[in-house]
Amino acid sequence: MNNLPTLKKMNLPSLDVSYGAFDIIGNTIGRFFDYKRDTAMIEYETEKVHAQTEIIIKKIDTELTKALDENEKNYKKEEFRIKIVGKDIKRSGKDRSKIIDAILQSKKPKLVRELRLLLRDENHAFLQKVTLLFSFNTDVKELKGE
Amino acid sequence: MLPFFWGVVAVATVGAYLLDDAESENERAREEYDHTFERSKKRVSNTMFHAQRKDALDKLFKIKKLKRKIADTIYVELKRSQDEMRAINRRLKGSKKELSVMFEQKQEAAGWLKQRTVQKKIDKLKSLRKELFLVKENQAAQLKEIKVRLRSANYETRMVQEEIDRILQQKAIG
Repeated sequence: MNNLPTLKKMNLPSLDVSYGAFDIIGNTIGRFFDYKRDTAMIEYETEKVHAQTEIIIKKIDTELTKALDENEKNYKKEEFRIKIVGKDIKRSGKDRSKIIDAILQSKKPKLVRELRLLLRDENHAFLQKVTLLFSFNTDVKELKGE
Repeated sequence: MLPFFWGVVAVATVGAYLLDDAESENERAREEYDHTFERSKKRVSNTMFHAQRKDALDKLFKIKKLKRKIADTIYVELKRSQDEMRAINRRLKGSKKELSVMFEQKQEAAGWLKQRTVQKKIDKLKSLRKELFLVKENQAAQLKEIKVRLRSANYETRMVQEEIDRILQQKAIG
């Protein structure tokens, strides 16, 4: 730098070049530090994205486990209900068969008439129980988003 | 003076080179960041897709099991009703034979009293047959109803299976 006045006196064009060169060096160093800062920022952001991804995935897993547990409970309940109604229907069917056996073995028309009326009531009750079995029919529609 | 000048030029050249290198490195880092971000987004949406699919399939398999159970219960009752119908038909056929035997007996009977006794038996059997026909009619309606219910139960089971197939065919994003 001590040489600068001398260079000015000599009226050399290199004087401007040297000032330009210092500017370039200064800018280079400045931009190099900018680059370092940007890179650090990008690395930090990348880590953040990774961490967020993990958090979201964990959250989905937790919610899924919860939903499956809830489903498990509902379906166990429904299965139990169907089991009970199914047993009831089976019993009802056996009763109906007994009435029909009695009708077939009977030789008195009066008794057969009474049994026939009883069978009609039994059949009506049987169909009501079958309707109960069909009350579980909404889940598929829910899944389809209807 | 000249070495100083060339020194400055050399430093400037190296600086410019370093700057270029730094900038390209910076650009690469940014691209990597964008790529990581996009990949994370895809990973999250894929995870969500698989989670939803697993949930839906789990539900559907259980629904199918329940629907199958309903259909099986109704099928057993259908078989029972069919057996009952066969038994009623057999009984009606038997009583028809019995009736024709009685008619023959009536024809062969010599006395009025004997004929009257056989006629009473015939009337009783006719009345019984009438009742049996009513039972048959009632059971036929019942059988028809059970068949309709079974068809409906089978249709519902099939519908759940179709839904399962549809979900299984779906693919994850990316």
